[in-house]
Amino acid sequence: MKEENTNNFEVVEAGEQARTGSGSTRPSRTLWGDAWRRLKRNKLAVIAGIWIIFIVIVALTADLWVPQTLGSPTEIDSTTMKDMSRLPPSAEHPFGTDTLGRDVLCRVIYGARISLAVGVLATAISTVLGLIAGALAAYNGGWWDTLIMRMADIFLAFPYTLFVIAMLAVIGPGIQNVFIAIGVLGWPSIARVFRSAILSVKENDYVDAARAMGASDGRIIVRHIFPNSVASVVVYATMNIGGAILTESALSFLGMGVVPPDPSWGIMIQDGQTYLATEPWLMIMPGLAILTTVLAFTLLGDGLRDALDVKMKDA
Amino acid sequence: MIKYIAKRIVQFIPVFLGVTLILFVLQNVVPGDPIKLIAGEKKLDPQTEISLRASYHLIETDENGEAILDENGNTIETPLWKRYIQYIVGLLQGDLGRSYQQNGKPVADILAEKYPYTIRLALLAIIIESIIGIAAGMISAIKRYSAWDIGVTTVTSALVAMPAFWFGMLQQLFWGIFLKNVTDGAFYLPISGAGGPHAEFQAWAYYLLPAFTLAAVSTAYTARIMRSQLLEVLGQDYIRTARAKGLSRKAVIFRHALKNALIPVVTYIGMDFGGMLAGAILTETVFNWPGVGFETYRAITSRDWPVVLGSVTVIVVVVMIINLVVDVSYAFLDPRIRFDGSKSE
Amino acid sequence: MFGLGLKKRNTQDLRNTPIPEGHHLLEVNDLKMYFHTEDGIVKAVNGVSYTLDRGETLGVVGESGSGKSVTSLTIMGLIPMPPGKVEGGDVLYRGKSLISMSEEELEGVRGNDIAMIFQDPMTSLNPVYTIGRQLSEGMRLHKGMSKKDALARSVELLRMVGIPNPEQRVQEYPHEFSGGMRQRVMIAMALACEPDILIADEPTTALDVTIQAQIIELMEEMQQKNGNAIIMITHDLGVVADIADKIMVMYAGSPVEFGSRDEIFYAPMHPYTWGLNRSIPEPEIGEKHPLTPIKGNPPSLVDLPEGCVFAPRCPYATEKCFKEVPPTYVTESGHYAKCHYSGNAEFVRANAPETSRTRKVAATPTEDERLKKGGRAS
Repeated sequence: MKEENTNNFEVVEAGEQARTGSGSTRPSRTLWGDAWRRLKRNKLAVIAGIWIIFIVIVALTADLWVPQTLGSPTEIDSTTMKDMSRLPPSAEHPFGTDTLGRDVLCRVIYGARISLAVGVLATAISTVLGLIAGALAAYNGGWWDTLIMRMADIFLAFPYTLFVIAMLAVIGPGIQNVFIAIGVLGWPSIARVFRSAILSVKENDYVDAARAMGASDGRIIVRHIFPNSVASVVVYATMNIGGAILTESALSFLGMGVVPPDPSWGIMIQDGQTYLATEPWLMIMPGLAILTTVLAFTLLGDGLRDALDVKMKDA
Repeated sequence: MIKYIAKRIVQFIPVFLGVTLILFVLQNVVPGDPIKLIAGEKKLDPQTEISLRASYHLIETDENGEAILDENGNTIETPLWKRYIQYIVGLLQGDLGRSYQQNGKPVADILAEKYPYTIRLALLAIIIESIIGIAAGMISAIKRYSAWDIGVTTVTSALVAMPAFWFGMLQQLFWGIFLKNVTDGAFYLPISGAGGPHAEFQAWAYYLLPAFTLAAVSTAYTARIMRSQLLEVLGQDYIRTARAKGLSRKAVIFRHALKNALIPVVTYIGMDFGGMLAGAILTETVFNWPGVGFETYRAITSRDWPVVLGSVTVIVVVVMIINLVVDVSYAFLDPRIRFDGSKSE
Repeated sequence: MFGLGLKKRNTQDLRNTPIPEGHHLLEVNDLKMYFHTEDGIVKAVNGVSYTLDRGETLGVVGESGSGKSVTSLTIMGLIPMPPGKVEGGDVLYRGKSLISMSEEELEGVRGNDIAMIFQDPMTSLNPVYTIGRQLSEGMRLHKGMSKKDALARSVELLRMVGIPNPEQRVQEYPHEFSGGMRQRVMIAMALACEPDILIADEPTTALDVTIQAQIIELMEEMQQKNGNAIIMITHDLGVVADIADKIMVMYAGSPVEFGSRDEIFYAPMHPYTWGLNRSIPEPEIGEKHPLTPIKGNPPSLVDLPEGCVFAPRCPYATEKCFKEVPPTYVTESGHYAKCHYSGNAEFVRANAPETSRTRKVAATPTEDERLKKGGRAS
């Protein structure tokens, strides 16, 4: 038993004894079961999780009730447009209306679909690419490692936003291209996280034992290394969703992301910039949507990190 | 030491070549003929077009810059690899090519014009970031769980979760518009541009909002890193040793914990400075700041590829040099770092 | 950095004040240190008492979590409060209570009158400062020495603890020292202000076996030179076998047996001490002495068992042990044990480990040696 931390080492010891000490009286728990229990105790993470579930449900069910109550997010009614333009928030239009007379709340709700889709899909692409690259680098070592990590260095040497913008300038704007660009350019960080996770797991004796027993490389990766490094990837991916949402909003703000009339929070902020002095809610509302959503993913990621006990740099 | 720096420079070469190659290929797979981009809507006569192609090294030329023709009297397109070599050779001589627009102005001149604005903004932002970020993080760690700590954690979490351009607009809204209305025009800050001879404000006033906007997210990160580092260091055995020596809490923090905790923070700030010099596209766009970020954005949207390639190349070089400087200073700060880059126990 | 906090303290060196009549150098009276945590109250130290005089060595032996380290950190005032809280008892140093001292007064005692060496020399030195700077600090603080004088004295100290080439080594950083050398530096640092009491918390646990003996020897040598008292904390009864005058055996936050070194080794009365005795390897006795581990784990300090805390692991436990807190059985010499059956000579004779008795025949110190030790201890 190491006594590392002056602040609470005896407490830690006592805690561990409590967990292991009385043996059979305690139900045995898995890593994930334990993590779930710890996550539930983290109030911020729970609130964040509820908020994310709420946004997901609202975004998924939007077609069922939003057009009936708030109108279409994209279509413009030219007959009423003039009267409906840039109305301040009211009971009928809680977030007001935009220049073309569309309900801002409606557009924020449909914007959530785009943001969530980009966040999840881009992260999925980055994660898959990163996992493959990280696994190849860490597991094979040698030339593979050098080559893949050098490539990661090249990608990371670019200022990220600039790189994504440059890529979109080449492949053109549009939502598919947005998550391809964000997804493809996001692999190096995940590859690094996964690589170091694998390397630390690889040091463990049970991996040697598995190899000694004749397990194949693929089997070792899938059965032994992956489950033990998946925690850090889960945490990283959760936080990455927030980052991807931020990047999407920046791209759309610059006019290189989602193409109007599709509602993206970034485009809405950009539209609102013109009326900053007179109708500030046009940019404040979508901004708040981004803030709360990204914050929720960050807090959930923090909670998962603590619950799964993943070591990570705070940056 | 010299060996270490030399080694880092050698490592830098493949990264640099890789980066420029990717950009160069990207630029050339873009659909569209550069000459159309140069000419815009204008219709060119064939002779002008040929000389234009020649001057941009798109076709093979002789020593006098005249286009070489093949047996059919057509111009010969320069192969991509050759143009890449030409680009790299030019680059080593400080030649970044010429813009497709702005009357074919050399990219180097354009960047030289824009960079001072970006550098001054970055310097100001880095000062703000260092002072506020380190101080806030330190107080947070020392007074852990206090109202201050909770406040700093809340504010920094919010800052890193909002788009920087949105934060910039909120600044404009508050300092430029709200304050102007409230004080009846007596006091407010400029929200756009960098001033000039006939500007309404003193030149420095134009820096305030963009600098704070640029610094905001980084300051939040600096505070968070500082806080977590200091807390981690304060839990180390050597801090207990220092306490056991009879040092007061204050002396322990300033004499023993601070230097250890600052090492990663300084690294982060250094790297961040590199990023800021890269030109903050979003901040500069929101504030119409005539810096290199805004120029790069303009070039990307108007497909002015030589400017894009040139500015990104410069940015990458600057970032890498700064990273090198950070690495070397890290070695000075932390005696455990050997110059082979490994940490000896 | 910024030269903060290193001006000479104006508090008096307590070690020059005479020990008041009827007091010892250090007295720990029924000390209780609890941690208030989310999971409940952790009774880390639950009624510890002992006395210590100049020149004496006290061995504190117990498993991890037995409260041995927390006891010493409480004496030093190094337990963060909260979550820690002294729930009762007192610590008197030269008749003065360390528990009720102000933080500033305590800072004058720490590293000056009472110094401490920690378990892991690899992490106990600040990696970014030179050895010389870290050694000088205490002397500049407590003795008001100049930077130059303190550095010169640091060189002397390094030489004293057997570090070759100290003039050069003083300018080096911790990572340039081996583990054993670092622990020597730690000892030099602790002795820099010639403390009255040296607390060593598992000083050899992290070191190679060959180095361990050297470090123990060094501490003894320094003690003979300076006359300071030593509190040696260890989980290994073998470590204190040669140097301790008194031994306190701790279990689950409180002492279960206390006595002179000989009493603990040759006439132990508590089943837990027997267990510890049986787990010391004894090459000379060989097969006759099977190495027996103590089965089970120490109890949770949040939820201590009713009755005797050791009962759940005690092979001799009876129903009574699980219900009643055992009384403290004290012999004439002050040797005591907290066990219902320590007073039962028949029971002790039948069950105390073989080794203790055979060893007693083989290794009882002569009367002269005893007198020598006793003389020094008073």
